[in-house]
Amino acid sequence: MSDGTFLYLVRHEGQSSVRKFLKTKWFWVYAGAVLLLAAAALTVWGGAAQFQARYLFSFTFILPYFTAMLAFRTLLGEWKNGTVGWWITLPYPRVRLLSAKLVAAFLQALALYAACFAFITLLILYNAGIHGLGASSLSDLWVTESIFIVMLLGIAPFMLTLGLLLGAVTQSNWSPATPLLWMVFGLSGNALSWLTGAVFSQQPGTAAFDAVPRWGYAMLPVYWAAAALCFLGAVRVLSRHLKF
Amino acid sequence: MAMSVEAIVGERLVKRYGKRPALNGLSFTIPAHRVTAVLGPNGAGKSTLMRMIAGMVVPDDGELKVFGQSPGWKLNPSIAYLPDRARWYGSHTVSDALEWGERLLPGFDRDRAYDLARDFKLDSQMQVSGMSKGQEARLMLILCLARDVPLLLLDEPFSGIDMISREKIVAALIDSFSERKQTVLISTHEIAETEGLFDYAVFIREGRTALFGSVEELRERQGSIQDIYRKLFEG
Repeated sequence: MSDGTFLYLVRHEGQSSVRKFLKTKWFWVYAGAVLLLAAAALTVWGGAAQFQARYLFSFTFILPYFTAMLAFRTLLGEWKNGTVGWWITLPYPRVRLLSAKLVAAFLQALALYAACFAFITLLILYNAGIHGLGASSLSDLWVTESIFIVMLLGIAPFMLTLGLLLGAVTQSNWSPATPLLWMVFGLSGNALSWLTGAVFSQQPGTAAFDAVPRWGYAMLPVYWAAAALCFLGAVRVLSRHLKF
Repeated sequence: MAMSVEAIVGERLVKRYGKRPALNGLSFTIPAHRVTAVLGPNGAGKSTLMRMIAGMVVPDDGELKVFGQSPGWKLNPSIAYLPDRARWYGSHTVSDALEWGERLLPGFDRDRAYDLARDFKLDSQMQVSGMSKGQEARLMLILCLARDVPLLLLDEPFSGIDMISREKIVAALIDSFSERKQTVLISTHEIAETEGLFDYAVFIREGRTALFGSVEELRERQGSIQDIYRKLFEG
């Protein structure tokens, strides 16, 4: 991959996505409306004794699904846009073509995570500011935030490669297996729901990283092995089983 | 790459989509350094054959050799392929598209590409999403014609294109063929306008070879390519 084609392919994927994203003006209208509503809700209820800022992290349960869909959309876009013939006949191994999509989708996922966590951090700071909560109340939250980021990044390779495999299978002779893969998507997308529960039920005073049971960390290599299998499966499907 | 007299050889090629055979025992030879027409009605298997040569699909049975090798990505540096019903990336400008060609397609000649864009009246800052179908078709053709490669595959390059654009494309093809020693395959329904381009023809019916041979010999024996097409496929 020393001839620069890989980086160019990643850049090409990224540029297309960014240009499309910048055209979606309504996204910013909705994002602004959600931010205003959340700020208003925190102004009213954020100071209540039973409110805990860490509840705001419950949005993370949806991020694995988004992660898979970023990869799925990156691959399916070639069919949807009518460019698949150009892309698939590029004189490079399918591993390289798919790896470029994987890296591009991962970078998009990172941007999404950064935007989401920045959004939550902004709300937490706002809440602490208007209700006069001290800096000590924030320190635990940063650790909690780190746990979610670590676990999200840990399962991202699996969700991304699952998205690629789903995209490849829908366009292949193996398309009857698509419902099965959607079920895997539905179940595995819940990968962070146990984490949310564990963090929310955490006793005050417990070290934040102890909220994750050991098996939670031990599962990560299993996810990575599954990610490798999904990726190899996607390469195999693209190499031999596509239907045109 | 060593050139044989026969550039492409297919033997008993079979490709099925479900129970429907797209190619059903197709056998043919295509000579090197000639312009070959791949002709047949819709659904005959022309595009499947083109995709097979470009390595997009693999045969279920039979053998296909392109310059003595099996098709696949390793052979694709030698092939410029215009896919059937293809579109270009809507977010690209003309210059983005030509950069894509320059960065990813071996044998891509940037100067020639810009010359062709000028001939085709495509401004380098023109955005693909705002182009007419004819302009987009011309841009995609540039990405193929600007490549100095042994094999050029054009699948329905005139489909849905207006007459003026078609004439420009045919003129560019004639220029390109006269300048380069390439093997060219063109699948088209526009036989009347393109007949003069062809040295060789392969007629496909229901996934099998109906007839193939030198255009000159076929004309001597059976009349124009259009007449032969009518005889083979009418009724």
